Amino acid sequence: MFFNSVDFAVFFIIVFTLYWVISKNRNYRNILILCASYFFYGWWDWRFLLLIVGSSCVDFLIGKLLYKTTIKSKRKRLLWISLTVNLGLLFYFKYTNFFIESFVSSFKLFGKDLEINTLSIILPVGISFYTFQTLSYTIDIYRKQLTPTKDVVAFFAFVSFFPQLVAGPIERASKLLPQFNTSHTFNYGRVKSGLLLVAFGLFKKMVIADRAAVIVNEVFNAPEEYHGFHVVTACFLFAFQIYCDFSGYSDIAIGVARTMGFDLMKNFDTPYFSRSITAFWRRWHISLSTWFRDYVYIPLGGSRKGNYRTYANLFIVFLVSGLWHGAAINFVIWGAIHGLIIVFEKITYKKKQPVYKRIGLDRNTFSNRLFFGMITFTIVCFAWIFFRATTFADAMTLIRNIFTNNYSLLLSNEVYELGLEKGNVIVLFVAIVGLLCFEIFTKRYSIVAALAKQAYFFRWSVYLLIAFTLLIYGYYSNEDRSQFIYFQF
Amino acid sequence: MKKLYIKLVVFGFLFMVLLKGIDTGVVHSSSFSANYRNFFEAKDSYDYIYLGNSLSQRMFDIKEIDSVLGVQSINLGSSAQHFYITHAIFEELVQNEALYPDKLLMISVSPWQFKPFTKERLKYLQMQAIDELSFSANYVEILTHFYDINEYPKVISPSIRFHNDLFENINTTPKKLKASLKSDRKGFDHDITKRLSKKLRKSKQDLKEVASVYNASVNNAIPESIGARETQLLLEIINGCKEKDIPVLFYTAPAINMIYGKQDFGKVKFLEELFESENINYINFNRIFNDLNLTLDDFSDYSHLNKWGNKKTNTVFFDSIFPISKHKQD
Repeated sequence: MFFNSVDFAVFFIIVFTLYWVISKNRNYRNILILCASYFFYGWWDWRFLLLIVGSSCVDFLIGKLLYKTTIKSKRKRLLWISLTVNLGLLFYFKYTNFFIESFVSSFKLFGKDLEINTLSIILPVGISFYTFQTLSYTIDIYRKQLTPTKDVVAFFAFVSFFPQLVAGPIERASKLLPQFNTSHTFNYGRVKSGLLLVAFGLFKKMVIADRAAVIVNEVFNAPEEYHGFHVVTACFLFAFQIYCDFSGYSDIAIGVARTMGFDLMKNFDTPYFSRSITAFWRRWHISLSTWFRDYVYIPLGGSRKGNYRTYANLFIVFLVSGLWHGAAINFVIWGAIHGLIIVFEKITYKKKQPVYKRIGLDRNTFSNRLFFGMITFTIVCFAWIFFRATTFADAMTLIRNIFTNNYSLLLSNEVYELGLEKGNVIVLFVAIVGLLCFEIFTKRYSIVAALAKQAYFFRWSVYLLIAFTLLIYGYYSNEDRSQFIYFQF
Repeated sequence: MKKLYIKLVVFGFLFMVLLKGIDTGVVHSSSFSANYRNFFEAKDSYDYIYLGNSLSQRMFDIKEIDSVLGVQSINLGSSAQHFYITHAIFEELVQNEALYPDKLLMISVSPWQFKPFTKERLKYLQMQAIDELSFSANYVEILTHFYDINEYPKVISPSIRFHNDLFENINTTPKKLKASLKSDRKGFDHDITKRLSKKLRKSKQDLKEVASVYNASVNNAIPESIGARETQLLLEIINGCKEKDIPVLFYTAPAINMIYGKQDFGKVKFLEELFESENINYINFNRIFNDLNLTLDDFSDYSHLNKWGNKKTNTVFFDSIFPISKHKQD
């Protein structure tokens, strides 16, 4: 059940109504959320429910035992059990075949052909997200930063909360779990702002991401066929496709949760306006970046063990982050590119300042912000090639093909021969420019607050315009293109 | 909570009113829609009514027929129209006696019209016809048959229909619409003044020879059903015409693909036998392909006749169809 489907719209209307009508008792509401979440998840494949129930049971019990015991070695053992179970499941479903293939191909390098077949494993939707969420619960209790909940329903609902179950934001127990122990009251303003956020998310997904996907798929599925400006166009559009796809999903998740009284963390903060890769990662997939910071980078020693160790820790985090995204060498390379540049930025950060001063470069002037912003965006787009390409060889072909000079085609109608007609290309670029302008505007002003101050007629005209834009320019389809990219992770 | 629901209901109502306004007033550019509305809103009946897919639209030069014979014809065919939709249009037609054709109802049938769709584009092309159908059991059946629930938003209104690739919005400009209405060539992708390209001609150089053995091939074919539901719908049309005393002629338009399409010979045979057993007029123009002296020059692609082809098929209309068309009051 995808957020951009009629199925979900019907599901949400029913759950939303029942949630506010059925009872004010939070226990009943939590039971409703739990049932709805399991129904939502079971819609893909009911067998996956066993995994989420199993994972929830393990962490609920371990959380309780961790809290009861004060013996250090026992606490460590319990933590290891949780890590083994959760990461074991993740490893089995996501990485088994990757390691089998890597093992076989490494032997091939030495001239030995091993006959090991890969396993037929279906990756359960959202496993990477809810595994990290439950792990944060156990680790926080282990660190004595969190008291385990006694309410089993609330805990199970926290793990499976349907708005953020399959693609985040990855919430911390300390922030989300207490919200299940609160009696929410219906707030018209919150519901309205939640629905507007849902509409904005749908706009990003259905108007921009799904439309951009047509050109992106065309080029990335046939890398040998396309050169120069075609590849550059596809890379540029993929940057917006993945951003609108994922941030659109996050907006819908946050909006849906808000209508039910819950606050989820912000997952994106205008990342393409970043002026460095370091800044980019503070604004892209924030819930994952902060998770890695708290549960990988800091335990590895963070920046406390000297410069070289800091650089190594940073690099490791990005490698793991790449691997988290997908079990393929492409994702590892994507992570490595970001890791290397962040390490480079860290090394040169202090050395750059005197140089800037000496040459009188002010990074805050508009032209310099634009310059550094464009450099960062170009690097991000380059790294996306590895992220999106089907294989490493495809990625290399595309990079090689970028340098074929066919840029004269820019003046022709060639861009309309990549699967989208002229009308759609215009809609796409107008929507992207509109989105960027909107993001600049929302950095300074609250659109919802500004809209609330306007006359009735104006507000309703805006709402109707949004609804019509979604209906006329949105994609409604059952095709793969309509799926959210991050569901596969 | 009440406030929210009241506002949502008001919003929904406003939205539907505006949608209907856009539907009827602004976006409505499809020539099929224009024809359909002209027909169902007209007070006078037409002499000849054509139903079916694009082959029906391209079978005859209706303008010439009307001017030579002094009759009035209307074409309710649309590109890639599935037979379920042809049947639904017929059902709407029979409900109003004033709309019955004065002379003849011409329904094109070809094996392609009965097949399930494999391409998104074919599903998409049904929408212009679905837009015009009034809400009924047939409408719901068609909607659920062709589309998934998640595709309903793009089907239920023409203003939404264009979202998918804005295809018709771009291609059916008011200028083109005017031109297409003038020539009665409704919303085609294929230019009627175009001849088959050199590339397409290459593999069909033996057209005359293949056409000469077509009759024998169909005669020797084993009848293959067009499907239980499809047969039932076809019989419903036949029986409807008999009950309401509507003069009808079924025909299969000449097409290069059909001459070469061995896989469909069984279905053609099935159709021929069905019409024969029901004692219904039916002409398979592929059987007289060479008699009509049709060549590669008479087609704009492998399926559709061009204006030169129409000159030849119109002679059949003048010589054979017109004489058998009788006036309603005769």
